[in-house]
Amino acid sequence: MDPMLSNRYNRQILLKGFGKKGQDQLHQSKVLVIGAGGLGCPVLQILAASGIGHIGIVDNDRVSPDNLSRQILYSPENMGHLKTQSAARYLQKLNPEIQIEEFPVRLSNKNALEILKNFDILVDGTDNFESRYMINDAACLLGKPLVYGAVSEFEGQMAVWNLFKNGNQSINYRDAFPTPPHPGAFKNCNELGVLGVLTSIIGSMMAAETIKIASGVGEPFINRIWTYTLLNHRTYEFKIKPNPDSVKLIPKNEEAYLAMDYDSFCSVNPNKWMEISPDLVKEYMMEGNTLLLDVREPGELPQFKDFEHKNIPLSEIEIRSNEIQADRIITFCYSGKRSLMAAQILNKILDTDKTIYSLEGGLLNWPQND
Amino acid sequence: MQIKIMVFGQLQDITGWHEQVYDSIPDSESLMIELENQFPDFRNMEFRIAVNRELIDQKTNFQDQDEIALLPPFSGG
Repeated sequence: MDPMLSNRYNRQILLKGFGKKGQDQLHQSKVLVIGAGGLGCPVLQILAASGIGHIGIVDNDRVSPDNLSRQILYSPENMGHLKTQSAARYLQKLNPEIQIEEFPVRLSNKNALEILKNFDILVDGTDNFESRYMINDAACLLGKPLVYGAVSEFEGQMAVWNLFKNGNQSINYRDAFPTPPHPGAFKNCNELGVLGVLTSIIGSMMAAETIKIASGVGEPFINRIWTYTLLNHRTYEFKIKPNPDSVKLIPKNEEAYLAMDYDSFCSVNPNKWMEISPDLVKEYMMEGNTLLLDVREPGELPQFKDFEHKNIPLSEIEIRSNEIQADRIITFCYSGKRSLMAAQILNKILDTDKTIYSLEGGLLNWPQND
Repeated sequence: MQIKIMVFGQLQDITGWHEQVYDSIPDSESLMIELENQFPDFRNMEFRIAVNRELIDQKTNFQDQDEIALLPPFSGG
């Protein structure tokens, strides 16, 4: 240790009930933070400063300008760089004594167990349901505690899942939410926006739980979910009991876990949520950032004139998907059959942050203006 | 009999309120029917129901002054 920094943890060690023992425990802990975004950044900053000895960071994303208002480890000079690399540099400067490991990969059930098994505590700061179920199931299989946080508009949730204490295993994400919601039922931060201060508040709570579990100090927030509303600082706790369905839904072993398809699992019934009514199409078109896509062959009738749209025939949809930029895409055709196929193809190949719909019943179902 | 209903997350975008007092709703199933009638969009939403801050997983009878909270999952980060 650098002698100049020998008392770096002095104020933590001074704390009654924490002391040298607590600090040593932090130093010996290996924590993996999954997602180095709005939640991951404050978690990482606090964990590094407090002296967690080994920190892993998983994220395959690169820094973009719209990250900067809440992802507090990044600055304009990091633009376009891997988040793992930018975060690791910042944190290593903040605390040169700790070990930081970068995983610039997209976490999937194919690589998750391999990465997660080397850590004592897992922290979920991801931004989508597929990852949250995948990480929860891995944590349960590996028997590791998982610190969870999530936000929606001005509200946040926080919990500690799957902690073994005094021979008891605490409840996990699937006890609270056994199966994922239909895609499209809930909007994400890209659609609804988020204030940076909220992710920092929830991220700080997550870091607090991580530090408590690592040091053995205090009572981890188990068997409950905590919710917080920024606008009025209102908090609310939900008690959660083990859910009999939860056990059945978690893969039983590594083989079953590898066979899971979390992307499809999170869109259990694709037709149900993908097909939307003409009224909803109009509403989305008014909201903007929506591309209306005619997937019929050029020249097919009737012509559609009510909204501006683009034409990519179903036969070319895969090779021309790079032409699609909007966050929300609505496909249509004459009867709604080809457009549903196109929507399903796009849903597989486009980024997960895009939402794809198909006009139910096609132009046959579109109200005529006389 | 009166119960207090609290909704969280994006459910508030549907109801337009966070908290509301309802009369004469005897149990959790009747509550769902009432809410789905009043707000058809509730049919597409996933959420858990808590009675007096505890999540329930089966039909539950309400008592006067019960506090019912509807908790959807959040995914943002």
